[in-house]
Amino acid sequence: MNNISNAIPSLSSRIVDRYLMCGLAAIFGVVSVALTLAWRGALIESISIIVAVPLFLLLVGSFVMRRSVQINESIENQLQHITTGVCSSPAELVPLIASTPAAAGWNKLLKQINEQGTLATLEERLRDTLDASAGKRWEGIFNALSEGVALSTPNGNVVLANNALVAMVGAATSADVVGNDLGEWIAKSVSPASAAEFDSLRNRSNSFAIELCLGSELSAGVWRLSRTPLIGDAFEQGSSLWSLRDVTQQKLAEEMRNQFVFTATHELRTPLANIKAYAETLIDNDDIDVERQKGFYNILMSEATRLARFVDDLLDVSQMESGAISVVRHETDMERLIDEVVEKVQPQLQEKSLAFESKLPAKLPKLKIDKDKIAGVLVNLLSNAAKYTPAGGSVRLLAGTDADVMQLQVEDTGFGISAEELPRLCEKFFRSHDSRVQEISGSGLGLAFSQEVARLHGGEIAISSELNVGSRFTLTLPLN
Amino acid sequence: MIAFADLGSVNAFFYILANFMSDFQRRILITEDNRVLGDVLRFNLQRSGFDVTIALDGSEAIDLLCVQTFDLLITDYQMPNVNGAELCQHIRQNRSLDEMVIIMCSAKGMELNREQLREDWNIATLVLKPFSIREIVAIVNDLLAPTEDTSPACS
Repeated sequence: MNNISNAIPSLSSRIVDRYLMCGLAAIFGVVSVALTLAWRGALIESISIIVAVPLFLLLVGSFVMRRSVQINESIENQLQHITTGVCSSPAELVPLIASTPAAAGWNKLLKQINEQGTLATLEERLRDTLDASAGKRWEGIFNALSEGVALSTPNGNVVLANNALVAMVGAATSADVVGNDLGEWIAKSVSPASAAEFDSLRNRSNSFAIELCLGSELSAGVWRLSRTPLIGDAFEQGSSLWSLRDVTQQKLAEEMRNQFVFTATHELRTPLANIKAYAETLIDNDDIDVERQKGFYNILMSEATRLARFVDDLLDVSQMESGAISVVRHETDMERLIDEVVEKVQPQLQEKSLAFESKLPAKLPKLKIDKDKIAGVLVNLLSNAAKYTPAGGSVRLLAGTDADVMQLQVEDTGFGISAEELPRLCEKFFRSHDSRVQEISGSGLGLAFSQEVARLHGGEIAISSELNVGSRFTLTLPLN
Repeated sequence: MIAFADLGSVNAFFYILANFMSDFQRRILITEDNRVLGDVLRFNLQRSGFDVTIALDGSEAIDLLCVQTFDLLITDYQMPNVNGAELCQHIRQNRSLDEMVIIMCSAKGMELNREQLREDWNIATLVLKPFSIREIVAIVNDLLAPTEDTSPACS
């Protein structure tokens, strides 16, 4: 502080300097006047008075002046401190203890500066808190995504991975994945064929998307993986964003749709081809004998019926989808119903010379059911048995009652159903991939509809089967 | 006696003529598991003067091909036991059947590649179900026309 005051003289000292110079000039004037007076007589007195008065005035004046500029001086000093860097912020400035307008102004200024300073710190603090909570929010969102997302460095090592991705690749925590090669984790989780396909793509620098199967069957799971390069200052050059989505449901729905298109085209085209061929033959040939013509008309009729049946099946399913199947229950004699059903499927069983046996208890209770629909279910189960049992096999219908349920079983010595396909059997449009089944026409709707009808009656259809041995379909209906 | 002998010789003549004619009748094998459709094809082709035999699947057709010769094969694609593709494969691997013209019918129109079929097994024509009987008869007539036209009709 002192050396600064030395470097630049303070305001008051400058004023005092000038004041003293003026004072000294006045003294010289007074002295010269006094000398003139002394030369003319009364020397001593006049000198002592003339010298003492101005000196006294000078001293008093300098004291008063110093006091009057004291405020300005302290303001100046503080400003100097700011410019020279002794004080780093306005907050270190000291308010003045005085009541002059200059001091009041200075204090007011300081107060405003300090207020602004506090506001700025408050703002800064608020921003920090907000940033932290926004980061947490982003992290929460990142982890809540159902899609697996990860960021990787140019060499494929994971920097960041969300919970979904960690769970999908089968890691325990994200720490297991971070720092490792994501490609390895993915290749480990998918089927060998998909892993090979993925390997051929992963070394590319540009973005790609690929569907990966987790097993040989679609139901084992399908992932859709896409990798996109990340561009921007926030990421290291060559970083990638990986996203992994489980598209199993989508793929299964797609497969069902394809299955439907396949079944529908076959089921529609075959009778249509026959109808067209016979109609054309009848139109083009006038000279066909009457017996033969009649035969042709019968074929037209039966093919049209087959078409109609398929359309009915489709309508049943669309009703099932919309939940519009209504069950109209009436007291039904089960023995009569079973007789009617057996009569209906008898020709089918005989055509393939299948041994048919029905084992019913002496008396069956009456049930309150929708007779037509339950008859439809039994016809479906029996004609399935007839369809998928090789010629010469046997089909059995068993009935029995429990305390509160009636069970109707259809057993055959047919192709059977593999354990993998068994759970999907009641899916609509599902047909076994067994080549023996594929050769037989069918809509893949019968069991789906039957299961739904059983469900609407409060019952169910249970299936047990062994490949190449036979199947057993058990329809369970509640007694009341 | 003479009259009888004459009658016999007339019968014999007709028998020989019939045999002679049947030698000229072109023989067609239909392989179709849809029995109803096979029947109507046979009915129409017989009316057009062809000798028609039906096999209900590929294996039956292969058995028939061992004992008889056919000029033309009309085969379905989807069939039990031995399907259309396997049947064509068998025929094209067998030198004695090399000359046989093949027409393939299928309901799987979109999934089969005409060019591929022609290249693999020299399939003359692919007909999509439901087809027109008139069209099939016309194609068969065209393919088996007595003129030495070697370029088969394409559809």
